[in-house]
Order: sequence, then structure tokens, then C-alpha cells
Amino acid sequence: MTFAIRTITRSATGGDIVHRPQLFDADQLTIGRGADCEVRLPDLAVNLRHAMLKQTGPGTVLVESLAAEPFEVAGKFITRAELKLSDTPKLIFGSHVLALSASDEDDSVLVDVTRMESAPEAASAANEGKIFSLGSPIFGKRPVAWTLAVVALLACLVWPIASFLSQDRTIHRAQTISADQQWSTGPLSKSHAFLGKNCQACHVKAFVSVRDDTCLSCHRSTANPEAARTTTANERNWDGPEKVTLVREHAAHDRLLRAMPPPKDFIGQIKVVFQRQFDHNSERCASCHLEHLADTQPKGAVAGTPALPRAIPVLRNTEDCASCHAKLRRSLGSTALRDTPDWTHHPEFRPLIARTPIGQSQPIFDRISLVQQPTDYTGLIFSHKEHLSTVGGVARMAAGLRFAGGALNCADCHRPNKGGKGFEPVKMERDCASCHSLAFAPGGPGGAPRLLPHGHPDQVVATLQNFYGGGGGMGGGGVSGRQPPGFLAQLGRLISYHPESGAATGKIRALFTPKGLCAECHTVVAPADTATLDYKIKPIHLTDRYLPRGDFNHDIPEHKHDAAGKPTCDNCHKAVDSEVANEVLLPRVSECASCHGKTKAKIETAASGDCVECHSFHAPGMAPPKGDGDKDHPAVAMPDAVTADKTVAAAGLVGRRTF
Amino acid sequence: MALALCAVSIAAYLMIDVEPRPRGGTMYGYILGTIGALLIVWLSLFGIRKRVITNGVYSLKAWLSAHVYLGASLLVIGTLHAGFHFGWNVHTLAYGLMVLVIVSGMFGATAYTVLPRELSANRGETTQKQWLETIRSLDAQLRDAAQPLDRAEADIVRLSTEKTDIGGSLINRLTGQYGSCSTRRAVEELARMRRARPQNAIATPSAAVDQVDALLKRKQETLAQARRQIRIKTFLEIWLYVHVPVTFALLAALTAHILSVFFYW
Amino acid sequence: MEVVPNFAAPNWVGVLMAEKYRIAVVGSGPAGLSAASHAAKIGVSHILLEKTDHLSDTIYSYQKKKYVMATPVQLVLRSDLGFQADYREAILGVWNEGVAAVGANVKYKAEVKAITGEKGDFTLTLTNGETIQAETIVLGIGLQGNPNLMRCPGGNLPHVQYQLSDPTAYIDEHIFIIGAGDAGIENALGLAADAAQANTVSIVNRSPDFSRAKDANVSNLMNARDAGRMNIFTEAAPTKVEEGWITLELPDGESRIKCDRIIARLGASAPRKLVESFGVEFTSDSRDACPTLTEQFESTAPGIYVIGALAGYPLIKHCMNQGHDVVEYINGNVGLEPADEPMLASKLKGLPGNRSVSEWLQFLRDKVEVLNGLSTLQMREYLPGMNVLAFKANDVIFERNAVGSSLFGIASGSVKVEINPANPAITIPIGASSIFGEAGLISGRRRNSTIRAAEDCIVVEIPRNLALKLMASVQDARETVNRIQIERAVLRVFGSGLSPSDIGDILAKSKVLSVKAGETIIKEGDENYDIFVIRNGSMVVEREIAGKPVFISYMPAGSIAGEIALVEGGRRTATVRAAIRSEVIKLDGDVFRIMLNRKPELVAKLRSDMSARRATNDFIEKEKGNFTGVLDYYTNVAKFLVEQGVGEATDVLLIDERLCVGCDNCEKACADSHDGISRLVREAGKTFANLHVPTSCRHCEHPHCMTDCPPNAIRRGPDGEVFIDDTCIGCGNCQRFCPYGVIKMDKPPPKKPGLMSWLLFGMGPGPGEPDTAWKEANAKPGAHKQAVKCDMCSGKKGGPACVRACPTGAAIRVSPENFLSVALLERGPE
Repeated sequence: MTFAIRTITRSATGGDIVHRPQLFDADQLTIGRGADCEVRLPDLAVNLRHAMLKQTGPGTVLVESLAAEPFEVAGKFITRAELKLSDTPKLIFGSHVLALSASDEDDSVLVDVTRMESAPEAASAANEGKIFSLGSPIFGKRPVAWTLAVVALLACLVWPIASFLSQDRTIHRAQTISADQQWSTGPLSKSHAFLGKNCQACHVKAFVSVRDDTCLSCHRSTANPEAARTTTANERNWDGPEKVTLVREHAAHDRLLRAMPPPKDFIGQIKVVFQRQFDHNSERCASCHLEHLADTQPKGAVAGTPALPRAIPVLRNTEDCASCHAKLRRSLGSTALRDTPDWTHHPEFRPLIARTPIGQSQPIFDRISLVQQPTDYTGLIFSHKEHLSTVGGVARMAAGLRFAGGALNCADCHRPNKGGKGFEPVKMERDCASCHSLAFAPGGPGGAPRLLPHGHPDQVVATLQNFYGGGGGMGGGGVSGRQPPGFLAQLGRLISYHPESGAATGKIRALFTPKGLCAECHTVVAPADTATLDYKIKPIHLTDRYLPRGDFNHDIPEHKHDAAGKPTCDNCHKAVDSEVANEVLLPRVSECASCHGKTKAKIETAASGDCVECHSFHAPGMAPPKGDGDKDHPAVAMPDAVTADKTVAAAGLVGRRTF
Repeated sequence: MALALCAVSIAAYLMIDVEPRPRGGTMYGYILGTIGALLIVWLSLFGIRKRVITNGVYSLKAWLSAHVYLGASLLVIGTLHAGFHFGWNVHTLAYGLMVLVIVSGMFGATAYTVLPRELSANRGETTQKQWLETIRSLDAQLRDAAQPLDRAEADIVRLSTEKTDIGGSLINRLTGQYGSCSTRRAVEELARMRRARPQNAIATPSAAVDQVDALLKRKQETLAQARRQIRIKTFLEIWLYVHVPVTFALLAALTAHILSVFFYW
Repeated sequence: MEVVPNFAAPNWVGVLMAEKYRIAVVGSGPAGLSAASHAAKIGVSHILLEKTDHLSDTIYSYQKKKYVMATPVQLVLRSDLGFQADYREAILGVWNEGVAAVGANVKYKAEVKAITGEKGDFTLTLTNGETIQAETIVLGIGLQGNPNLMRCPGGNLPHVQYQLSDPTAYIDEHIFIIGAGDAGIENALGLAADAAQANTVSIVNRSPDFSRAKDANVSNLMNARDAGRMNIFTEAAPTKVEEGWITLELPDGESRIKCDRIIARLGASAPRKLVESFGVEFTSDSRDACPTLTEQFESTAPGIYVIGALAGYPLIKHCMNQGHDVVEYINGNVGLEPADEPMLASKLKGLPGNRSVSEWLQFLRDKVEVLNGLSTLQMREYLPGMNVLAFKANDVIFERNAVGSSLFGIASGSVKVEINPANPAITIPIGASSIFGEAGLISGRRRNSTIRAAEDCIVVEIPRNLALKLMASVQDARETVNRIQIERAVLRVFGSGLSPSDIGDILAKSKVLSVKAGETIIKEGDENYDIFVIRNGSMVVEREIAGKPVFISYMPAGSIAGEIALVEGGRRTATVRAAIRSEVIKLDGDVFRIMLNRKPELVAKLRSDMSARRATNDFIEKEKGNFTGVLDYYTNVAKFLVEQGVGEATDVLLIDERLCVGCDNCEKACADSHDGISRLVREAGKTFANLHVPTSCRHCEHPHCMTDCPPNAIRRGPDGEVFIDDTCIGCGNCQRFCPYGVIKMDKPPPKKPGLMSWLLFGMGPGPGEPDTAWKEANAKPGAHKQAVKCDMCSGKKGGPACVRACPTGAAIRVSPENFLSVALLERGPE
């Protein structure tokens, strides 16, 4: 019996090449890699002598491994197989397939040997790129690039914006982490730290810079500061740790803008153009009060500066006073404020005075420059000269009153107020009554003499009527020793003058006579109907603060007393020569300039002539606080420049008392 | 030009002292920022410039050097724009990415200047294709030579012909160490097997084994040389796998940075 | 494609052998086929004799699926057979059907051995002894000729064949290829290429080496042998052929080897002898001369007409038209206007002096000296390639240093040559009927002087290939050109101040030597003092220093060598030898000295010319000290570059491997700026001292690729670039001729997705030439392989893309005379 072995190879162009068959006239064949095998499979996965193929009967063959290694038939790995040629079995050795079949013409066995398509070799030229250039062993650039880019965009842009859009503005979200934290450029100052988690507290609208309204929604001062502190803050229910500082605006926003002159230098102008373009102007609160910088030491910070983070936002002045106030009139057109290019051109002080003489019902207050030597119709009859002179009655009485002798001095009547910057208002009861006594009879409570009520003529009348109308006994105990000027003495005189007249009425009329007690300091208006006792006193207008728009600190040692410790009031206030109360005893601005703003000052320690020594931005009426931490910087009511003239009266409220 | 740019920006930085501290939000900051942003975009366009072959007069060499120097200057500009002030926010993220890109770029620049000689020296006149051909033909010869070998030895040969990964992993490529290279294992195996068996007991003609051994060794040499090439090329390319993706991340972060600044203005 | 002779045809051939045919067409190529089928169409009794058993053997033996182009496009097809660009199979199909349809009378296996008789009564004798009577004979046997047969006994056995059309057709065979020319080697490689065919291929070479074959082929052959796929027998010859066996005569005696098939590629004997034996005369005895023909294709033997390739028309379309025309002529329609008439008319349109086409042909042939020898037919053949130009007085015809290798003939008027670039006033006139531009033609270098029209004139421009063909086929044309070229070359060497009369006797004693590459023409230390003018090719100058030759300088064609010894006297100071195969004009020293004595001012000029060379000499002297350093490097690099063909290059791409990072951006740029196929292979090519010469065109002075381009598609462009236009028929000749392997046959790849879509989304293969896998996956029908090569990015104002696109500046383009000089020295060794 014979085997016909046909090798079938695949040509490069595809398509099988059937090579001419080899015939073997034997009853069995060996299959293997060895040269001695009839069916030679050049395949290292095959044993040298792998198996033998034997025809066992007509149409049946036996295949048997010659060693342990099996071969594959119909998907199973076996070492022995009885096969029927009729169902054309396929034997698989390594990568070779042996298809067995019976020849049609004779009884020989056909063996078709084909090689399976093996996987392309690693070193095939197709792989050149993979092998020699990077890329296969690590991720490609493109996917990584996309991933990173998309992640970055989502995390840093989309998420924050989304949360911005989705947020409910009113609720304070201090506790939650918010997406837009990552946009913060730096920590907030202590005072604002509590807002930290909620960017939209200040950044209200997208692409719109922080507006003043936003700041003022907490910080705007109202008629009632105290109320404002709580209400404004609470209504927006921030639980801010500290009290808010309330401020007035320096001026109406539009006027502020108009007042600001265009910068002279080119760069400055460009800057402005951009600021206008991006609506990021430099007159906003936020342009001076810089946030997100709390972690920066102040410039030239030295040891001992407050520890970071800063207590309040960093202040950076975008403009100086002069830049606006040098030509304010021109830029604003109408304003009550005088142009002040610099300290040396500071306009003369314009004290706030009553400009109408006594007798007119409604006083007119006005600010008049010292240059015009204004008269301040106080309505009081008082001579500083007399009171301060070291000789004469006043001096003697003062000596008498005091155990140690000596004349009066300023401090006897003008007492420094709390803080010592200014002075307590002069009060009759406290500062005058010790000499100008209102006692009219003994037997007051606790052995003190009875006193007439001050400031209320009608009560005076009433008091005397019911005292004497009750038939009060004559003064028994004679008053010995010298008497202070005043009531008892006069009373004696009155009685001696009018023995016959009715006691009370007489005494009252006497009291209000031009020679009477009241008239010593006041102008008395007698009743039209002489039958009545309807006496009046002309009103008094006293000035606590002549200069409502500036600040002066009497407490500064150099202001108080000279090197020897001797008070220096009269250096500035020429009171000793003042005989009438209508004189304004203010120094000229030149007086200040004699020390301040001088390179060589009388006093080395004299402060500079800077505006901020006396005026502050939000409260021109007082000097700005010194240093960061000052929390008790009071809100100062300050009128808009535009309404300055009209509201001088209002301003008067600050400095005047009327009786 | 780049140096001039750096010089100017540094000088300006020193001259203009900004209250209370230098930062992006000042005028000068915005200027630097704009310059920087434009630079970044321009620089990242190099990837396109490199590939678009226009007919106009230009030299990619000039473009590349501009790319390198301006890229380096960006480090200065960026840092000044940040005013040496960093934090955990998108802005510093962008800065970090930028630095990453620039540093990787610098690595690339050095690689480009140093490695080509090695590359040329190592390859002589052989091309990559030729290496692969050599290996292929060696494999073929191995298969033929191994025909008379018995199973165990044949398997060793198959180990080399079928399991050898020429390029190998990234680690392999970077270190040039191919410890577990199949061909190498094959060589050792064969040696061990021959030592184990006394000469006379070897089933197959030792001539064939010698030939296989020789072929394996030759293949090893070829592999070694090819892999040296691969290693150098890896160093020439690896940095791009940082440079390029991070650039994209940078562009994204930059957008976020700019938008966020004006969003919360 | 078997065609049974059509007996239904009006003339029932083969029934009566005695019949005398009106026309006997020999050869069933395009020309013959067309002739026969036209004869059949118009009912002229005819017979078509084909020596093989199929039609048009030349096309038949193209490799399978070869795409055949149809150029020139503007030429109308007159034949009755259809023909348009298509695959080999399709075309053959069309012809077979066509022939069957018109009932042309074809006789296969009929090879004509001899022709006797004269017009009206010819007798054709076939190799098998049959005879055929015919009144006229049309020869369309092409140029293939008959393969040389195996002489040894058994050489006529059926399994001995002389061509191989399908190498994949044979399996399990022991095949012997006899003859180791390129044809033989290519066949052998083809048969052994696919191991699956399990052929045992052997090649037999008579000589010990493979000198006749191209290096590429030889190295492939050697690789095949090393891979065990090929047996090579050298110094062997077959002595006996038997069924299944061959006996070879080997150096060590005879041996009988198993052999199932023999493919003998012993070259072919040109048909010329045979044709001449018919009484047909040729225009000259140079190899590619054509038969002398009348305008009706009638040869010098009345009644015998020659058409097709043999008549000098390589293109199929021409052949078919001629087939049609010649039958018309024979049939008495003499007035028939040739098919190319409209083509020529349009070409000559707008020229002054309105002449008809034939008048023009007449005019040009008579007026231009070099064209005198041409037949009207040849004029017709040449004219499409030539340009007839009219110039007004003072028009510039070409500028100095312009690129151009075409030859100009003056038909009327005259021109003037500006020999002194400094002073254009000095001119030399060239009169009517003479030629100019011959220097460029011969040297292949840029024009060496500006030429203007002296008066209104008409000149005919003959492109290089045509000029060479002309010189080859027309004896006196060749002599004229050479004479004038030599005379002017010598004159030019000495600039002005010499007239042809002065150098008459020098020329008389001058001779043209052709020098093989490496051969020396001047040897250092010799006593002689002849002087040489390099006619074409190039030379290198060397000096012996410390026993080693040191490269001194490179001499392009047109320069003179040996003048130092001539002027200064004394021994030769340096050795001059050919860098590539060159031609030099040798001028006798003695005669020359006599002339110099007559004209002392020339000595001065020569001296000044030598100063440059002295500079290099001095440098060398200076560097003698550290010879091993700079000079070694210098010499070796120069040698290396010359080996790499830089010697014959005009512009070559070099890569400084000290800078190359291997990004292949040059290749990508090349591909992207040339419809997707890269013309250079960066990695391939030789390297020396970090100077790498990649595989890319050198734009040779005498481009090898131009040697045989049927459609004349390879030309030299305005920037000196050698380029292939799209009339290329994809025959692959240029690829075979290029010794640097820089031409590849490829089809433009399908359109790629845009750059951005790749950059961002990874669509498509990215920049550069797509890999084959992608190409095949996206292949579009209709694209056909054509020859592609570097065109130096001509027309791109940025210059070569490869250089522009190199990010590190490693890629540079240099021309040898600039680079092989001190510039190279300055580059310095590693």
C-alpha cells in the first residue's frame, strides 16, 4: 500500500502552490522533524521522530506518538488515534496540518501537508516604528494630552463656573467647600476671613469688578451709626466676628470721577484707558483696599510688625489729595471747597461762626476766613482779658477762692475732653458758678444755699415768687466777712432801696435789671407789658468746634506746653487781650505752618505738612487712624462736597450749641 | 532676542516697585501676563509649524532656536508675572505646568545636542530595517540549524526565535538592561545543558549545537547593538511624552487662569 | 489571447500558398498590427508575419498587470485598432479582438530569414523554409531583435527558453539561467524570490565576475546565494543539454547537474544586420542610428518600408499611426498628411515668415548645419522635441550661469557671445547655420557665457537627449559639434585675444581622450608638459605628501590642467586623475609653447588664473606639519564624497550626523511637498566622519537616468534640477540606469486627512509618506506607478523642503566645486 505526500505552500502573491507528490510504498510512515522521517515537518515544535502513521485496514489509519508529546486531532491533544479516511481527518503537528484522505483512483493514502499561517515575526519590517521609536511601551502623547487638558478644564473652569451659576447668593456657605476656592489668589485679611468660603459675597457678577455697593452693603454709615453696625451686617446675615467699620463716601461717585484729573504721564493715561475699558477704575473701594494679600508683609516691614495674616485689607493709595484738590474748582465747576495744591498754599482757616448780631431770631451760621477777622455773635458778655488778668477783682477773688493765691488760667474753665484732643464744653454751673453764684438764700438742702435755676428765666421767677410769697422770715444770721459778688449782697442793697415795695416782685424785677445779676453775662429782654414779669434772655451761641473739616490734637505735648512744661495756649490763642466774647481766638494757618511742613522747624519733632495730619479720606474732619489695627475708627458724618454750602448749618450741628 | 526680553523684563521688574508687593494684578503684571500668554500660545504652535511644509522661505532650524530661547525666557517672564508668589490655586497650577513643560524642553534640547553623535557612532551605516533583516535572517538560520536538534534543545531555540522582544519595556529601553531577554536566556540554557551532559551523551551532532550556539551569540550581538540604538532614540524621544501632553494641559490651565481672573475681577 | 487566423476574411489565406500579397507586414508589434488591420480594413490583400505564437511579443512579454501609458497625449490616434493607457492584458485583449474583427490575416510562428526580389515581386523566406510572395514589404520588427541562441547540443530542446514573462509560474523545478547580465540576474532573482515555489535556481556566468551587471543586482544576487536561495557558477559554460539534465564546463572539469528548465539570457543580436541584408541602408554606423527613410517610410530598398521602433519611434502611438499611414501610402494615397501634422503646425505657429510645416522642415534642415544630414522623416521625428525660436536683435538667448544643456542651431541671422562677464561689450559673433550652447551640451554644466541675438534671428533649440541622438545617428553632425566644441573650449581657456586662426595648429595636434574613473592624466613628478582641457566629467588633483596622496582640489568640466608645468616649466607638481569617467582634450605642449611665445600676454593671464590653485597649495604646505590631522580628514572626506558620486553631482544633499537627531522630518517634508512620496531615504547611504550621504538625487552633470527615457520625460529644469514630468510611462528605465538608486517607481498615495485632524484626533497616518499598510488599505483605483525622484523642490521659493524642514540644520545641500574645497577644510575634523 502507498502513501502520497503532497506539500502545499502559500506563494508570496497568495494562492496555494501544490507541489508534486512524493510516493512512499510502505505500510507505515514516520512523522517528524528528523531528516529520516518520510513526512518531514521543518518545525521546531515537532519532535525529531514525533509520530508514526500506519494504515490498519482499508480506509482506516492509526496515528501514534513515538514519544510523550501528543498531536492534535479535532481540537484534542492525544498520543494515539484510530482514524477513518472517509471523514478526512486533520492532524496538527506544531504549525503543520496533515490532511488525510483516500485517493480516488487507487487505495493509496493522500497526505496533504500545509503550514498554518504563523503570526508575523517580531522583527518584521512592519514593526520598525514600534520597535525603534517610543510609543508602544508607554501611552501615546495624544490621549494623555487630551485627558490632562480636559481634566484641567473641567476641574479648574467648568466646575467653578457651574457652581457659581448654581449658587443661592443669600445663604452664607462658610462651612461647605466651594469649587471656586482654587481661583483665590491669596488669603483674605482677618476681618474678611469669615467670607473666605463665599467668593460671591464680593464678586457678585461675573466679569464685573468688585463694586462699591458691595462693600457699602456692610460698611455704609447711616444717620444712626450704631444701628447701622448691627442692621447692615445682620440683614445680610454674615456672622462677621468683628464690628464693621462704617464709612461715608468721600464724595458722590460721579463727582469723584470728575474731580480726578487725567494722569499727565503717557503710561498713566494708557492705564486709565484700560481701566475704563475693563471697567476696573481706580476710584473704587477695592482699588485702595486690596484683599487677597493678607499674607504679605507691609513694604519695608521690620520686626515687630503685626503677625500675618493682616488684620484688615492692605491699603494702597491710588491718588493723593493734591491730585484732585489742586484744581477742584476747575474739574468740578461748583464746589465750596477751596483748591489746595499743597500745604504751603493751604487756604486760611474758615471758622464756623454765627454771623448775625443779637436780636435777630434765627441765627445765620457761616464759615468765614480768618482773613476777614470775623465776629462770632455768641450773645455772651464775657472778657477773657478781665478773667485772665493777674491784677484786679477777678484775680483777687480767684486768689480768695483758692487757698493758694493767683489769677485764673485757661485750664480753669477749658477742661480737656476724654482723650485730650479737644476740650469739654464750658458749663456755667461748673466753670462760672463758683464765682458767679446763683445762691439767693440759705437753707438749701444739706445747709447749702438755695440756688436759682440757670438758663430758665421763667423758673427763676417762679422760684422767687413762692419763696418770698410764703412770707419767709428775714435773714436772721448776719453774713459776716466779705461776700462774693452775688445775690445776698445785692439783696441787702435791694431791700435797703425799696423798703416799702412787695418783697417777691421787687426782688425779681431787681434781678433782671441791667444792673441785675443775669445781665452780668447775658442780655436781658424786659417784658413789653411792665405789669408782667415775663423776662427773657437773648440766646447764646457757643462754639465747641470752629473747624469741622480739620483735626487738631491739643494733646500732643508740643502743642500743650513748652520745654519747661509751661502751658502754651496763648502761643496760638490771643485770649489775654480779648475783651469781648465775639472775638474768634483762632490762630492763622500760618501759625501751624511755622512748625509744620518746614524742613527746619522750631521743633524738630514737628510732623510733616501732609494733608493726612489733619484730614482723612473718608472723614476729612479728623486725621486718619494710625496703623492697621485701629478698630475704633469712628464713622464720621461728612457732607458731600456738592452740598457743602447748604449744609454748613448741618455742619454747625457738629460744632455749635445754642441755648 | 530672548535674552533681551528677559533682561528688559527683569530690569523693569526691579525698577517698578509695586505696592504692596509685585503680583499679576498690577499694570506691569498684566503686561508680563499678556506677553507670557501670547508666548505660550505661539510656542505651542511650533508643533504645527514643524509639520506644515509651506513653500515660503523659512528655516525650521531658526524656528527651533527661537522656540528654545523664547521658551527659556518664558520661565523668567512667568516667574516675574507671579511675583515669586505661589499658593494652592489654579494660577500656580498653570505656572507649575509651564515650568514642567520648559524643564522637559530643556532636557530635550540637551539630548538633541549631545546624543546625535552617539546615535551616528552606534549605527555606523546600518539602518533600522537592516537590523531587523539581520535578526530575521538569523532567526531563519537558527530554525534551519536547529532542525537536527532534539526537542529540549529545539525548545531553547524557539525561546529565542519566538519570544524575543527586541524593543522591550520602557524600563528596558531607558536602562538598556534586558535582563530577561529570551535570547540571552536561550544562550545560558544551552550552555547549562551542554555542561550538564557529558560530550559523548549528547543525542544530536555537536556540530549543529555549536552552530546554533554561534548563531544565538551573533543574534545577541546584533540585538545589543540595535538596543543601544533604541536606548539613544528613547532618550531623544521620551521627553516629548512629557513636553507635548503637559503643553496641552498648560493651555487648558492657562485658559482657566485667565478666565478666572476676569471672572472674579 | 489565442487568435485563430480568420478564414472568413475576404482573402482566404493559407488555402492558396501561391498567392502574391499586395503587402507583407513583418512583425506584429503595434506598428505591424496597425498596418495589417488597416490593410484588412480597406481590403488590401496582405499577410502579417509574427515569429512567435502570439501578437505583439514585446508588449506580451511585459510583466503581468504592467500599466502601459499612451503618450504623447496631444497626438491623435489614426489606427483602426484601439489604444489607450491601460494594463498590458487589456491592451493585448483590445488588439486581439480588433485584429480578429477586421479579419487581418495573421501567420504565427513565421520568422523571416531572408528577402529577395525587388519592388512588386518580393520573396520572403521563413526560418521553416516556407516562402511568401509579396509586392511590398512593411518592416515593423522593432529593436528587440532575436535572442542569441544556445549553441551547445540540445540547445533547441523545448525546455530551453529565451525569456521569462512570469517567474511565479514555475514550482519545484531545477532552473538554470545562462548569462549573468542584468536580465539574467533579474530573472534568477525573480524565480528564487519566493521560497514557497521551492525552485532550485542556478545562474551560470561565463566570466569570473559580474562586470556587465549593475551593482545593485549583483549584491542582491550575492545575498541570495548567502541565504542559500541561489547557486552561482562562474567561469562556467553549458556544454550539453538533455531532458532533465545540463552539463556544465567548470574550471575543475565538467559536471552533469539536474535541470528541468533553462532560461538563456545571452543578449540579442540587433535586427540591423538582418535588415541591412534586405538591402536597407542606415543613416550612420553608430549603434542607435536608424534606417534612411523617405517621408513615406520607404527605405533605400524600393518597396520595403520601415516603421515603428526600428524607424526610430519608440512610442506605441507613433508606431500605430505609422502602420496606418504606411498602408495608405502604399495604397497610393501619397498626399496623406502625417498624423503629427497638426501637432507640428501648432508648434511652429506664430513664427515669422509664414511657412507651411513641410516648408519649415525644409528650411531648418537646409539652413542649420547640424541638421543637414537628416531625412525629412527624421526632421518630423525630431521637430516635436525641438523648439524653433525667433529672437529680436539683442534679445538674450541664454544668460551666463543659466542651467541648460541644449544645443542651439542658427537657422537665420546671427548671435554674439559675451566672453568677458566683466565687460559685455566684448563679443564674438557666431554666424548663420552654425551652432552654440555646445559647451553646456558636452560638459553638462551651466552656461559659461551670455549669448544675445546680434540681429533678428531664428534659432532651433535641440534638447540634450535629442542632440545626443542626432550626433549618434548623423555622422557629420557629430563631427561638427565636437570640432566646434573643442575649438571654443580651447579659446575660452585663454579668454579673449585669440582667434581660431591662432590655435589652428594646436587643434590640429589636439586629441580627445576618454578617461576611466580613477585613471591619471598627469602624474606628479613627470617631465612632460602637455596641457589638458576637461571636456566633461571631473578631475581631482592630488599631491604626494609623506608618502600619502593628499587631496588638493576638484576640477569641474571646462577647467584646464597641467598649465603650471607648461608655464613655469619643471616637473609636474601634482597628480590629476578622473573622479568619474571623463573626456579630456589633450593639447600638445610644444605647439602650445610656440604659441605662448607669440603671445606673451597669455602667459600673464595663465599665471593669474593659477593664483587660486597656488593658495590651496600654500595651505597644504602650511599644514604639512600636522598631516595626520586636518589633511588626512580632508583627503579622506574628499575621497569618500567623490566615491559617493559627488564628483559628477551638481547639487547633493548631505547630512551632518553630528546634528541629525533622526526625526526624519526631511523625509516627511519631502513627501508632504511632493504628493505624498518621499524622494529621499535619510537613513540609507554611506557615512564618513559624521558626513552622511543619504539616498537622494545628486542631479548629475550627465544624468544616467536620462540615458533611455522613451517619452523623454526626464529633463533638467531652470534651477539645474533633473526632474521627471508626468509624461512618464513608468517603464522603469531610469530606475535601472541610476547608479545611486535614488529613483523609485511608485504611485501617489491616497489623500490623507488634514494635519489638524491627525494632530488632534489621530486621523490618518500623519505627516510624511504613509506606510504601505495604510496605502493599501486606502488605495484608490486609477493611480499608476511612475518614476519619482528629487526635483530639488523647483518652483518652491523656499528652496528644498528637506533643508528647510531640518530642525537642527543637519541637512545641507552642496555643489561639489564649492564643497570639495577649503570650505571642507574649515569644517574641520571631529
